[in-house]
Amino acid sequence: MKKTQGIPLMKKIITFAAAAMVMAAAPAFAAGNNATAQADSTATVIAPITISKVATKDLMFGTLIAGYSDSTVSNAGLRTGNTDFELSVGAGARAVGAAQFTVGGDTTRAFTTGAVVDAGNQLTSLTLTNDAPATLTAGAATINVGGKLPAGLVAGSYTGTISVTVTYN
Amino acid sequence: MRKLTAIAVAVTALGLGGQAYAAGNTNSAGATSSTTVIAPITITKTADLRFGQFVQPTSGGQIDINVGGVVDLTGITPSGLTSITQLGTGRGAGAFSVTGQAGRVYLVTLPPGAETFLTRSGGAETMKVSSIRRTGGTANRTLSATGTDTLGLGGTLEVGANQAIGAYTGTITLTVTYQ
Repeated sequence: MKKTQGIPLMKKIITFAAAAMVMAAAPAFAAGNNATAQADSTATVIAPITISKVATKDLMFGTLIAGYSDSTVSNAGLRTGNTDFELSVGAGARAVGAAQFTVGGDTTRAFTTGAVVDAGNQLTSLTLTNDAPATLTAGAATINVGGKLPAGLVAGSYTGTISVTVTYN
Repeated sequence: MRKLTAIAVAVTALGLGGQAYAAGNTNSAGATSSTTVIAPITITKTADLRFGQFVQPTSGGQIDINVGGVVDLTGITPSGLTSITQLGTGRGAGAFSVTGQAGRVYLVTLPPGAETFLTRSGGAETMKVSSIRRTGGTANRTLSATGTDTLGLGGTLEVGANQAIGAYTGTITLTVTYQ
């Protein structure tokens, strides 16, 4: 009886020895041998900035009296400095108003506005003003553009274009 | 008895060559065993890998940030779109702080394929970050005399043409292992 019991005991010892050898060959490290951490990686794609002119909202000086005085149309579209001849005589008054543009883009990003009189504009002496905000609000902004014409324009009809450029800061 | 002797030798070898690395490791070897308990290795993120804000490009491109935080925007077209002001934490390399036993060598494991994907918040669109890399290239690192080390984390963001607008986030996992 004692002899037959000895066989399984030997098997257990051999198994343990094998396990110990494996551990020695490939060192088994306890907790603390390695550690893991995560970093976030982030990127934000923002909407391109856009600008478009509001239909019918052009910069219009109406009718002026030649040689009389300079004339200013405010950003709000009100004219000062010269009289509207046709309005003053009560017939065929021509519209006066500021140009208006709408800007779209990123929610609250800051942007820079530039307004220029285009080459080829017949009103070469025109200077421009605008009331552009510094930042978009809820991804939108409105820009009104006024201007000033000096005195001394020769009688005639003048047209031309202006350009407004917006750029993300 | 020969078997039993072999066991004792094996366990002793484990005690000498394998060392016990942290609390909880037990060693049942005999009196000849020498055991050194060393500080566990730890790693902590100190900065995220930030590609910042950029305007939706009309064609695909790349933004690369190296482990030192140098930004290369040449892959984004048109290039003028990249000059926008960076808000918040801006662009920069990721960083990790590693601590452990002074002078100990350790291995750094990066994500499989050295890449991960960022997913748009509120959507399913993704951008891949490839060429994920860390300070020291592929070489093992050695903890300083004070048991510390710092790893910078870089990568290349691959932006698609007309990439969907939004905020994208993903995770990059680093594992450090004593050698």
